[in-house]
Amino acid sequence: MSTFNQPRSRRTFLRQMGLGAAALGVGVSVAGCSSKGSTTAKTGGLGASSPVTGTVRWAANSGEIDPKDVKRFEAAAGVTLDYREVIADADQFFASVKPQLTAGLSIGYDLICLSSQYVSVYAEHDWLIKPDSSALPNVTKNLLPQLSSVAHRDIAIPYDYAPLGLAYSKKDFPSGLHSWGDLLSKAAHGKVGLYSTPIPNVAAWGLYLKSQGKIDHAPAEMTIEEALEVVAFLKPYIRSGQLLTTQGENAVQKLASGDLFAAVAPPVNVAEVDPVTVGFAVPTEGAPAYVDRLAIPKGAANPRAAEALIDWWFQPENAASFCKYTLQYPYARGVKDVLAKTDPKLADNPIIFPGEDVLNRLFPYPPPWSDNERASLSRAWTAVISG
Amino acid sequence: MAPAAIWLVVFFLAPLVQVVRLSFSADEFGLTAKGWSLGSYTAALGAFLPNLANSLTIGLLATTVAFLVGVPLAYGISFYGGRRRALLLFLAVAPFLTSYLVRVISWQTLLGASGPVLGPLKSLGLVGDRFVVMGTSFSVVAGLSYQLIPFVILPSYAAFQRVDRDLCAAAADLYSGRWGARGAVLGSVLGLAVGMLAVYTLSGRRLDLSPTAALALLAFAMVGALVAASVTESFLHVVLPLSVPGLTAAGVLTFIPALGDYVNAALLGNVRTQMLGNVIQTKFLTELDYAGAAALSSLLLAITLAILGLYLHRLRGTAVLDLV
Amino acid sequence: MSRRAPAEGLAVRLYAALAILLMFAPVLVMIRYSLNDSGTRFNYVLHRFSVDAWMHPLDVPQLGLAIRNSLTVAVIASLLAVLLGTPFGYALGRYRFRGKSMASSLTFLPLATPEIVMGAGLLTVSVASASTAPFKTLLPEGLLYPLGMVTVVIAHATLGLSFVIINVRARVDRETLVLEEAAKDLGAIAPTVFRTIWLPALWPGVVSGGLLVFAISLDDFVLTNFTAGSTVMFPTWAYGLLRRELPPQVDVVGVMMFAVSLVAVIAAGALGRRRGVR
Repeated sequence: MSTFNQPRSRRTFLRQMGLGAAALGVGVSVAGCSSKGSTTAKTGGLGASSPVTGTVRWAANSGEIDPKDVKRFEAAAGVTLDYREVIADADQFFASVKPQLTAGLSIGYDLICLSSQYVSVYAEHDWLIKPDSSALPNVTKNLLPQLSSVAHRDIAIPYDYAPLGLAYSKKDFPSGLHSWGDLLSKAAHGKVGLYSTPIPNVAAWGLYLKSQGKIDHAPAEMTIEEALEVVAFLKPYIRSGQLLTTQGENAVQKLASGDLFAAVAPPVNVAEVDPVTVGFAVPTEGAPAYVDRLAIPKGAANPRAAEALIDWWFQPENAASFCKYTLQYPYARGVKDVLAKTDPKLADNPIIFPGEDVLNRLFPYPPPWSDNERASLSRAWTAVISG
Repeated sequence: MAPAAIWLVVFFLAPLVQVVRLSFSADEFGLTAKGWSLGSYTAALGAFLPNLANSLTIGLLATTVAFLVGVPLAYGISFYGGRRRALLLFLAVAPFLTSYLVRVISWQTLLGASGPVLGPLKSLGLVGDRFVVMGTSFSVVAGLSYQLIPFVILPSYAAFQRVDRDLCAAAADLYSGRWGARGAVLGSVLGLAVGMLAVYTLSGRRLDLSPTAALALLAFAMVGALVAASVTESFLHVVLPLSVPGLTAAGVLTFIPALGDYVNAALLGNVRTQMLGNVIQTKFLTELDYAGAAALSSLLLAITLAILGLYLHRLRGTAVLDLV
Repeated sequence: MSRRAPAEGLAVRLYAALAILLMFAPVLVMIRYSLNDSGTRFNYVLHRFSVDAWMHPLDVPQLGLAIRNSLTVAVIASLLAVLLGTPFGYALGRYRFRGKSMASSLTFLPLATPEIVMGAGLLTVSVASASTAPFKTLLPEGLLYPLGMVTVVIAHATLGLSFVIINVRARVDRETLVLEEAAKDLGAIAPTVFRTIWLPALWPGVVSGGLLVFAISLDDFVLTNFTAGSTVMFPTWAYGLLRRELPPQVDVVGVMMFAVSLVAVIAAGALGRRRGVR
C-alpha cells in the first residue's frame, strides 16, 4: 500500500532531526566548555578581625560585574565567589523569593542585589540581616554623602545608582529637552516612551506636578494619595496615546529606529551611543534616581563573607571598575580621581559625571509604602494601561 | 503507563488545584488560600472583560493568519515536495529553532519606523511620515501569527501526508474541473468573514466603517472568491475531506496557546492590545494580587476547556488523539 | 502527482516560496546583525562590518553558563518526557481500558493551561515541600527546594509530556496492528514483536515528540522564570541583559543554534541517501 511509503520517509526525516538535535547539543556544549566563574580560593584575608573563609553566593542582575573583578576579589579576600546572574527582572525575582522568605526559608544566597523599589518591603518584613558596621570600614569612609541619608541605609547598602532621565533623539528635539512638560507637546504625540512599571513614572511625574504646586512631597516622601493623583494626571495622556507605556528595556533601539522621539531611561543606555544622534537630559524639575542596594538575606550561609564582599566594592579602585563596566553613577568617593588616570574620557563624560547642579536635581525614590498601598498603586496603574 | 499518570497528577494537577483553590481565597495577598469568597471573580470580570475580548479576537485572527500561511505551505511540501520533502519541512520550521528573544528583537528592527521596510516606503512617499507599525495591534497579530506557524505546519503536514495518494490519482482521473461559480460565492463569503475579523481586531475592536475598511473588505472577498473558484475538484472532493479532521485538530491546538499568549502583546503592542495573559502577569508579579491572578487564570482555563470540550463532543466518539 | 493541474502547482510553489522567505526574515536580520560592530553596548544599529562576535562568541560573561544550563535542562527534560510519555501514548493507542477518556483528557490539560499558572503552582508546591510537614521530613533536603536545576527540569518535562504522548499515540495505527497480528501468526513472542514491529513504528513519534520538547524547553521563558531559581538560564538571562547591553554575541548564539541544526539535517539526509534507505 502506498501509505507504507510515508512512514519511511518520515522516519528518515525524523532520524535526521534526531541527529541534528544531538549534533546541536554536542556542538554547542563543547564550544561552551570554558571555565569562567570557577576559581580556587587563595590564602590571605582582608585583615579584618575574624577570618573570612568559604564561599559567598551572590545573586546579581545580568551583566552586572566584570569577571576580572570576580577574580580580583577572590585573590584579595581568600574567599570563593559563586557569582550568578539570576535576576532577570526585579519584579520576577521578588515574586519568586517572596513565598520562600515568607515561609521562613533560606533562598540560597549570601548576598543579593536589591532593587530600590523593594527595599522597604524587605526591610519591613524583616527579611534581611543587618551587616556589622565595624566590618564595613570602606563603606563608612567612602559612601557618597548624598546616599548616606536614604532609607534603610544600614541594612541595605546603597550601591548601583543612576537617574531616570530623558533620552531623546536630537533630530526630533534639536533644542534639547528641559522639562517633563515637553513630553506632552503635540509634536511628540505617540513618540514618548514611559517605563512599563508605575513606581518610576509616578516618581518622575510627581516631580513635575510638585514643580507646578499640585502636590507637596518629593518622591521619597510621597503619600499614596499623591501617587494616585499622579496616575490620574497621566491617565488621559496614556489613553490618548500621547505617552506609551510598553517600552520594555530597549529604549535606545526605538530611539535609533525612529519609533520613539524620547524615552525615560537611565544614562547607561545613552552614554555610549553616538552623542550626535541621542542626547540625555535631567529635566529642570528634577529626575528620580534609583538606588539599588547590596543586602544580606535571612538564612544566608556565610554573612561574614558577604560583608567582606560589600566592603571590597567600596574601595575606590573597585568602585571605579564597577562604574566603568556598568556606566552607572559612582556611588563612592574617589572614583572620578581613579578614572581620571585610567580612563580620562569616561571621567569627563557629562552623562556619567554630571555637574553639581544636575546632582542636586536627583531625588531617590520610592517612599516606604506598605504592601497594600503599593498594590493599590499597581491596581490603579493596571486599570489605566489595560483598557 | 502509571509513572506518567503519577507525574502529571503530582506536578501538574496538584499545582493547578492549588491555583483554582487560590482563586476563591478571601485573602488577596496570601499565596496560600484562606477562606472562601467570590470577590476575586467579581472584581476580575468587572474590570478585565476588554482584555478577554482582546485575547479572543487577537488569538482568533492570529490563528487564522497562521493557517493562511501555514496550510498552503504544508500542502505544497506534502504534494509537491518530492524527494526533498523532509528538507523543505525542516526549512519551514527551522526559523523557530532560534532564540525567541532574538527573533522578537529582529522583528522590532524590521518593523521599526525607519527600518528596512518602512524606511524605503516612507522615502518613496507610499506611507505617511508618522506611520508606525510597532506598538499597534497589527504588530501583535503579526508577531503572534509568526510564532504559531510551526504549530500549524506540523500537524497539517501530517494530515496531508495521511491522504492516500492512490485516491488522489483516482480523483485526478475522475475530476478535471474546478470549483467555479459556487466556489466563488463561498470563497467570497469566507473572505468577507476573515476580512471583518481583521478589520474589527486591527481597529481596536471598533466597528469601523471607513472607506479604507470597506475597500479592505472588498479585497478580502475578491481574493477569497478567486482562490476558491480556482480550487480543483479533485482537491475539493478528495484531499480536503480527508484532511479536514487533522486540520481542525491543528486549529484547536493552535488557538489555545494563542489565547494564553502575552509576551507578544507586551513587547510589540500598546495599551489597547493588552491581553488577558498580560493582566495575569501584572497581577501576579507587581500587584501581588494572587487571588485575582488565580481567578483570571481559572477563567482562561475554563474557556480553553470549554473549547476543547465542545470540539471533543462534536467528534462524538472518535478520540482526538486519533487525528493528531 | 504529476497529473496535478500545472497552474495549481505554480501557484502553490510561488506561495510556499514567499511564505518561507517571510519566515526567514528575522533570521536574515539576525545573521546580518551578528556580523556587526555597532560601536556601542547595544547592537541595534548597523555600523561597521565585523566578525569579532564570531571570533569570540563567549566573551560575554555567563553567556556560556546560561547556554550550557539551558541545553542541559532541555536534554534531561526531553529524555524524561520521552521515558514517561512513550508508554502512556502507546497504551492510549493500543488498549481499551476504564478511565481511558479521562486519561486522554489529562493529556490535553497541560496544553490548555497558561504557563504562568503552571509556574506559580509549581512554585507553591516547591515552597510547600520545604515548609509543611509531612513533606519536610519525607523529601530529601535540597531536592525540590531551593529552586534550581531540579525544579526547572520538572517544569519543562511536565510541559512537554503532552507533546510526546500525542506524537507517540499518533503512531499507533491499524497497519501496525495488522503487522503485529501477522508476526504473532508467524510465531513471534511478545518481546520480539515489540522489538521488530512496535519500536520501529513508534520511533518517529518518540523522536519528533522529544525534539519538540527539546525546542520548547530551550526557548521557554515564563515557566523558567518561576522555577529556575539559582540556575542561570539563557532566555531569562538574555532578557535581563537587555537593560545593560545587547552584544552581537546574542545574535551569534541564535544563528549558531540555527546553523548547527541545518547542517546536521543536511548531513544526515546525505548519509541516509548513501545508505540507500530511501
